[in-house]
Amino acid sequence: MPERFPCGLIVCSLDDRKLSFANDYVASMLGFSSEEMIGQALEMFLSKASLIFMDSYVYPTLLESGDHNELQLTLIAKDGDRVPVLANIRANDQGFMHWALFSAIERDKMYQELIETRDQLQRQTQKLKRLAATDPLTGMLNRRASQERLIELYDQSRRAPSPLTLLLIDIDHFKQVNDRFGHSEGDRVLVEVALAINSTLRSVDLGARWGGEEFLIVLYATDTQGAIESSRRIHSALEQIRIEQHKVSVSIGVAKIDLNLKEANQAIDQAISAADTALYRAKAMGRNRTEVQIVSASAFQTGTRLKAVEGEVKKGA
Amino acid sequence: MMTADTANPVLVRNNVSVIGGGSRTLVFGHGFGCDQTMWRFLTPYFDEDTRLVLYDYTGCGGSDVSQFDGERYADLNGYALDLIELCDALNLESVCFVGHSVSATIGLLAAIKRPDLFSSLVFVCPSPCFLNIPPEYEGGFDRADLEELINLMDKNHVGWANYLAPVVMGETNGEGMVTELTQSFCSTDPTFLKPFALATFFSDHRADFERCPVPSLILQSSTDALASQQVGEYIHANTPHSQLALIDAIGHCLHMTHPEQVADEIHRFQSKL
Repeated sequence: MPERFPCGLIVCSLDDRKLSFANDYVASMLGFSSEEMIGQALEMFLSKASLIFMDSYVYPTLLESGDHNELQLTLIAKDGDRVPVLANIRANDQGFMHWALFSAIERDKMYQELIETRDQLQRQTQKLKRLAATDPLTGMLNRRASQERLIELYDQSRRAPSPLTLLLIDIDHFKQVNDRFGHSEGDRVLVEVALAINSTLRSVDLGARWGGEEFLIVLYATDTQGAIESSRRIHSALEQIRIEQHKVSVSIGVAKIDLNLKEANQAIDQAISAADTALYRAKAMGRNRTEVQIVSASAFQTGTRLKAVEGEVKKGA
Repeated sequence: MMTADTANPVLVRNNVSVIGGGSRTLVFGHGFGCDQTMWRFLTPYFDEDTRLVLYDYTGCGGSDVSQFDGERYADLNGYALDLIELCDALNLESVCFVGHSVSATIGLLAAIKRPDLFSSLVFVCPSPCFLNIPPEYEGGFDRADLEELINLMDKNHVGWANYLAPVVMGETNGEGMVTELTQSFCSTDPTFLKPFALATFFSDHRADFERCPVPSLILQSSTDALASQQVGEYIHANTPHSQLALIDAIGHCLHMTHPEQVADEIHRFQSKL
């Protein structure tokens, strides 16, 4: 009677996993005779991956609940061919597993296509996300993406807790570069400055093109003193950049982000305007330098200068 | 069974359960593809003055999956951190840790990082590395086998009830049904199972076993397709202060199929420490 069913049937001991029954359907599916299969261990007919899956997931589930349905496995035929199958399994109190096996060649193809489609969609999504987050000229984060990332950094720093500082960097006399040497030269300078700034950052930091010739840097787990060190590195990283014989320089405004505020946006806005004030002061004091603005817990004290760092280079073009 | 103090976020995250009291503590770490319910065959073999601590790794079983952080759980150290954090949350020290399969490695990594927490380790069907690394080491599997495993998991996830449950039942049915389905035995959301599989099957922790800071017992199944006898002997030879106990059995889940022998071996090991 079992021979008439168009599906594979196997009975197998739970203990030693040897087959005590295999119908002709499953035998011919695998190129054996049913006599050849009986007495063999189940492992012999499973791909190695299927074996791991059996041992780490299916078998424990069977021991616990007694059944397993719609399990996709790969069987290995006598000639080494791989046969995808779908299995329903029952374990009983007498120590046997009863398997019903259905050929799943077409289903397997469909699943493979689904997986590939899903992977492709994931890759495309990642690519689009990256594109949407990046400034096309410099490859740095754009303003919108950096705002989102900054909120994450803020929450992370609050949890840790660890200090977070913010730098606004503006290329000195950039308008003149564009006016005198043209926009393509201006673009080249932007790219080189972006590369130089990026070379000073760690993977945990954030670097973004904030606007025209302005960059935003957020230094993770870094206090004001560390940020001053970082701006020194930025000033010196720019030393090799030239426009004809003229050196390129930047002015930098530094502010520590207040982690005592619950609202990330509020703390960020506050730190950005503080850094902007410091940047403005750096410009007013002759450019090519770093100024620090101290932000107090609630309102920021204007004009409190902690330390000024002079760059070594002369004014740019 | 009492559920531990729900106020501590770590205990909630890892669905920690504490059974019994007493001065001795055993902590049980489940293997890949499963959760703490797999220990229910073994736990009755320990008397009431032994405190038993069970948990689910983040992303598995009844853990709080919202705490799953892809970066943290990209390798086994993230899972070891779960174990360390829950021991700290329960103020445990000098426990005996019993880890099945990949949990043996996870327990070892935790012990290397925090030797104060552990007095001994019991490895149930351990493997430091599932990959074959010719010529010196045979983990049992080629890279292609393990890549097929990931593919097979994907294919089964496409069909798995817990993946489709929320879709099939719709939002209107309330969360009850879905929760019941997804919390059935050893159910694990594919989103979290796959990173665990990658961390488990593609890592090589052989060198860590040489650094094992406490005495250990290796419980080896005589016929285990996932962790062969040869692998058990390799660990024994390369782990200081280790003992090897061979249990005549077929399969990779000794604690489920041969719980009495596993309990006897653990008792004997503990009494000689």
